[in-house]
Amino acid sequence: MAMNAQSGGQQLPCGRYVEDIAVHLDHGGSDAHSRTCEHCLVARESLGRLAVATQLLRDDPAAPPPNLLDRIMSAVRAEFRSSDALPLPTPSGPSQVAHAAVAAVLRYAADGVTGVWSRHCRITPVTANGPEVRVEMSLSVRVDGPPIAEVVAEVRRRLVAALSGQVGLVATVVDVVVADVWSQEDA
Amino acid sequence: MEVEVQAPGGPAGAPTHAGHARSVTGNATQEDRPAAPDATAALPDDQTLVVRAREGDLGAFEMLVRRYQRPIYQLAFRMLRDAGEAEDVTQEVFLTSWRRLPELREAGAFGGWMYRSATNRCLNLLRRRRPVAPLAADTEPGHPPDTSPLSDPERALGMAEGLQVLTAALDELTPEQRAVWLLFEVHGRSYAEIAQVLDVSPQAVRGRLARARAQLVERMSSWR
Repeated sequence: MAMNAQSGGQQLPCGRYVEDIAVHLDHGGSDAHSRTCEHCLVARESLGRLAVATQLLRDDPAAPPPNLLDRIMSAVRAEFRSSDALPLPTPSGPSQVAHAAVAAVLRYAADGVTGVWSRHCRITPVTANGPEVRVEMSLSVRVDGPPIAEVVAEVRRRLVAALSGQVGLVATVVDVVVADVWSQEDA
Repeated sequence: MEVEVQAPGGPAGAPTHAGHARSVTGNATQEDRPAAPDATAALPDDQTLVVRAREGDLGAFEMLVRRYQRPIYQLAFRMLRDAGEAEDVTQEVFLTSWRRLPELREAGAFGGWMYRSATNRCLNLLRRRRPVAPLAADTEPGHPPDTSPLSDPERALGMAEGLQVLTAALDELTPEQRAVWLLFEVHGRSYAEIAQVLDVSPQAVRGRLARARAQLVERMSSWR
């Protein structure tokens, strides 16, 4: 698409637009005029310099200070209130476990299945004092991996095992939803 | 998309998903190639991380910060030319995103959201910094013209001369032109996305980009 003054183009004394020369340069093309025209040659040289400097800026050496991540996460943590808790019967009596902690255990268990990224995770008590719970989880599953039905079955098996083995809760219902798929090329 | 690999044992106390997933891919050599496409594929996409973070998974949010803090900081630094202000903007952008995660309708649009938020913060800061009459900017008392083409971090890094000339030339653009040029040329954002950031039409973005480029080309002719 050719440039013109209306679209903000910069016109050289020879009548050509700098932007058009840039497009030609990108595609390695030139014509008789641009090979001999003094104005075009100067513009091409400057465009080349700009391209080199732009690449330097894409590999920008300016980096955030190493402690910026910690500062951001400290501020986030200070605001974070994990209020939800699940009833957890223990040998020494009734107790509670944070919903976020149980969700972390379950997501970790699901992510252990090749090609699976767990997303939404909700654990709801079925009985007032536990240990029965209902688990809902959504997944993003790699599309060019094993059959999705097998993947879901494996996730369900691992969720049940992790819940009883690592937390001490019993899953009576496990709803697993495949919400999305991904492939190696997505990354 | 640049992706950093999360170190094992994130401070959130939750298991690190990245480390775990890499171990189950079953290919030990992957561990030694952090920049390889395979390794980036072993990290969850933005949508996955946003859904998790919304549900209080701090480890997932930390991965988003790791993924975007560098480009966002670099954009802010090149817009503002002040390392301290760029840090503040970066921190505010992420803290605000944490607070407003539930409002993000498209979970996969996190990156664009960060760029939009950072650009607008930078433009607001620059508007406050400049006096009402833009042409008088350099003579404003208390705002002496920046005669040094290099800021301290750049000098310390022994910056290439071409980058010096370019950053000095960027300074002479209007903040909006600078934002358009940086977002398009350095950060690879689309016309449509930049149009949304600046609340103008894609055609206006194209025009501003062309003017910015023409001005930069002119300035670059002084660099040999």
